[in-house]
Parts: sequence; C-alpha cells; structure tokens
Amino acid sequence: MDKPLFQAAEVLDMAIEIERQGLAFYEGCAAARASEVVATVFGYAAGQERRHIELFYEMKSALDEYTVPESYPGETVSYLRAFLSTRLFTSVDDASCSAEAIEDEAEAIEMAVELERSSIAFYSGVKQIVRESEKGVIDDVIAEEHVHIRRLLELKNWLTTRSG
Amino acid sequence: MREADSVDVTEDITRFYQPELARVIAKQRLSEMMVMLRLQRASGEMLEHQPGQFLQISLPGYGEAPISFCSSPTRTESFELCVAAVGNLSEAMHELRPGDFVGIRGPYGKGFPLEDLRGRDVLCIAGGIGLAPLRSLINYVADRRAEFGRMILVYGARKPSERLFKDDLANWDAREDFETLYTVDEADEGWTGRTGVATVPLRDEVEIDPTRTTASVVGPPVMYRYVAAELLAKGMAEDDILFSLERRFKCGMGKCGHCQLNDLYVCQDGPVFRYTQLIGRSEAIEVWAPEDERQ
Ligand SMILES: Cc1cc2nc3c(=O)[nH]c(=O)nc-3n(C[C@H](O)[C@H](O)[C@H](O)COP(=O)(O)OP(=O)(O)OC[C@H]3O[C@@H](n4cnc5c(N)ncnc54)[C@H](O)[C@@H]3O)c2cc1C
Ligand code: FES
Repeated sequence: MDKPLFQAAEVLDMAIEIERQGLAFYEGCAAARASEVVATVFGYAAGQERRHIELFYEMKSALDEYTVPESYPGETVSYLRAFLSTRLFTSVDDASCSAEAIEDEAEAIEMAVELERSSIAFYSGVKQIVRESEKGVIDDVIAEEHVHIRRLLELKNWLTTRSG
Repeated sequence: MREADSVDVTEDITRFYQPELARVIAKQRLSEMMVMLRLQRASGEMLEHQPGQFLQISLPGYGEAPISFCSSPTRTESFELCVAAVGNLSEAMHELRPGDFVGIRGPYGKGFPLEDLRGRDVLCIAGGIGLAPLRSLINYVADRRAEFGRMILVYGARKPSERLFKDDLANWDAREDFETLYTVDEADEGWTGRTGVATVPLRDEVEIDPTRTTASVVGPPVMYRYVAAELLAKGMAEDDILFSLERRFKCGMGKCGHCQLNDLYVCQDGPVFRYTQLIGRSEAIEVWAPEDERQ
C-alpha cells in the first residue's frame, strides 16, 4: 500500500476544536450557579484545556510533510471525524449553551466525564498518527484528561456523600 | 523459534517449503487494483480450508506471499483468491491467465472459529479489501443458513468504483435473511447509498443482542480500534470480537518467527484472533479500542 501524506493539520484542528468545546463547557458551568468547590475543579480543568489549545497550535505551526501508512489518503481522518461526530457537543456554542442550561451539578459532572472520555478516545487515535517526537505530548494530554476524570468522579462522590 | 515447533535436525525441512501446483481456471477484474483468480489443484484433489485461512502463493522469480481464501469451503470444486497489485508477486499475479500455474502451500493459520459461530448471530465488518476473507465466511453462512442466527454485514469501501464483489453484494442485499449496510467514504454522482466510514452505520444503525453475537472484523489497521470501541459500546464481550491481522510472513507456518506479535505467531496462532488475545500485547496496538490504550 502507498504511504500517502497524512493531513495532520486537519487532525490538530479537530483537537483544538475539542479543547475549545471543553473550555467553553467548563467556563460556562463554573460561571453558572456552581458551588465553590465545583467551580474550583471546573476552573482547574478549564485552565488545562486552555494550555492544551496552545500546545496543539504549537504542534500545528511545527508541522512539515509527514507520512503514515493508510490504505488511501485521508483514511485516518475519516475515522477520526466519524468518531468525533459522536461527541456530546458539536460546536463551542453548543458547549456553552449546554453549560448554561444545566441546573444540577451532578448532571454537569456527568457531562464533563463523558466529554473527557471521548477526548481521551480521540487523542488515543491521534497518538497513533503523529510523529514519534510528538507522541509524548499527546501522552501528557491524555494523562491530564485522565486526571480530570478522576477529579470529577471524586467530586461526584463528595457531592453524593454530602447530600446523602 | 518456539520450542514446541522446533524441527528435528535429522528431518529434511525443505519438504515444508515445497509448493504444489495449482492451475488458474478463471480470472475476473474486481476493481482497478484487484483481480480474483479461481484456481484448482493440479492434482485435481479438493483443497479443504476454513474461512479466514490463507495460502502461501508463489511464482518463480517473483517470490511468495500469503493470500486469504475469498471463496467458501462449501463451494469445493475450486477455490478463489483476490489479489491487490501492490508489489512484485501480486503485480505478476495480475498478469496470470487461465491455464497458467502458481505454486501453493497451505492452507495455513487459524481462520474464523466456525464451531463457535454456529447458532450465534454473525456480524461481519469489512473495510476495503478486508471484504475478501470475509466473503469466504459470509458465503459459508449463506450456504448453511439454518446453522446460524442473524447475518449482518457492514461494508465500507473508499469509493463506489472500489467496491469488491459487486454481484455478491447485490445477492446478499437481496436476501431477506441477510442484513446489509454498505457505505462509501467518497461518493460519486451515481452513488445513492450511505457515505462515511464503516463505523458510522455500525454505530448508528446496527442493533444487536451482544450476548448472542460474534463480530468478525477485517479491514485496514486504522479501522480496528474504532470498530472495537463501537462494539464494546454495544455491550459486546471482548472474547466475541474477532480480528484478522496482517503481518509480514516468511515461512507462513510457525517456523521462522518473522510474523511474531509478542509471544504469538500471526501465521500460526492467527491471522484471526480474539480481541482478548490482543489486548495488552503491545505489538497489536492497532486494534486496541481507545479506552484500552494502556502505557
Ligand atoms: C494472513 C494474510 C492474508 C493476506 N491476504 C491477502 C489477500 O487476500 N489479498 C491480497 O492482495 N493481499 C493479502 N495479503 C497481503 C499480501 O500478502 C502482501 O501485500 C504481500 O506483500 C504481497 O506481495 P508482493 O510481492 O506483491 O508485494 P511486496 O513486494 O511484498 O510489497 C507489498 C507492499 O509492502 C511493502 N513492503 C515490502 N516489504 C516490506 C516490509 N519488510 N515491511 C513493511 N512493508 C513492506 C511494499 O512497499 C509494498 O507497499 C495478506 C497478508 C497476510 C499476512
Ligand atoms: S513464523 Fe514464519 S511467518 Fe510466521
């Protein structure tokens, strides 16, 4: 099979979009009716999403021609895009609106966990197709998203025990 | 080399590598890249194989390569292979004509576990030329329909012109006891069907009883992890997901270690593996569903 040019820039754009949606959601939730403890965890996650956006912009500006094995050009992007289409939000606006519409903190946390899970899934796909030298960066982002999930689940537990 | 497979030094090991001859009896172009060859052993004897197994095919001066059976073992008078022109041997195979001979060794490898599939719902997911080995399984199910539950086929090709086995696709689609979902990634003017990769109809349109379904998946490596993710999301057990893997082969029969995937030999333990066998084996990372990505 050929080893055609991979559209890495397009995938990085998708990663930036994912992080923007996460940022909009966390900021929206933190601003709307959240208790102090929830606002702190969401604010922390928002700060990291902001940093991830910068990271992906840096990676994009350092891109040069790069090839990965695909059976036709754009194959990997097609799967990534299909995968992305299952995400909770379809745009940054959608993420902000959802955040504003949420009444309940538990629901916000559940949505955030879902969002983080799908981001991890997406980045695991991205990791397969970036240069060796960039795999570490993606690993770090994945690890940070895992920490977000852990913190969110801890927060959910804490809220349940408090109310129970 | 594995201890158990080591060869007695007094034995003449060249006999393992001795191909027999098979005659080309028909040739059909399936797409720009693919031809299908129908072959018969020169001895006239039947070649018994399982769907998912492969033959080592050789042409003097061009080398040898593994090619999967694409015909069902229920159709026994001859066998069919579908070959993509990608290199020395396969390009030379595209030039073969009825009456020409090729060398064959095999059948080798573990195919789809038919005994385990019997009585269950069969979900086949094919991407690109991955439909070739699955055609063998699908036609097996077609010919022994009463022995199996539902038969669901999800097939994604890059473009309408690259769809393989168009007659079979139409026949399967016309059967009331088959559920078919075909898609192309890049539609052309004449295409009125689904667009998008195979994971889209798999996710959105396929409803299964995960306790009675076994999924058989063959396609490009990039497809596997996303298919695994969708199947796990549908509640399927990892043990009920079968993947056929490709690696570079040399001997094709567990002697040389060329195709090693950690402690497994793809040519002998596979090419069809259960997902459970692959999780955690770092050399099979292409199939791990995103959640299974472990450092
Ligand atoms: C179990 C199994 C079943 C298969 N079934 C089929 C089938 O049904 N139909 C089919 O068409 N193909 C099938 N293949 C793939 C086929 O065996 C290979 O494509 C084979 O290499 C073709 O031989 P060739 O001499 O024509 O090409 P080669 O000259 O071997 O080249 C084929 C491609 O592989 C690349 N390549 C060459 N050497 C290496 C190497 N050492 N490492 C990585 N890449 C390399 C080349 O650049 C080229 O793109 C199967 C493979 C396996 C393992
Ligand atoms: S052990 Fe030789 S090809 Fe598998």
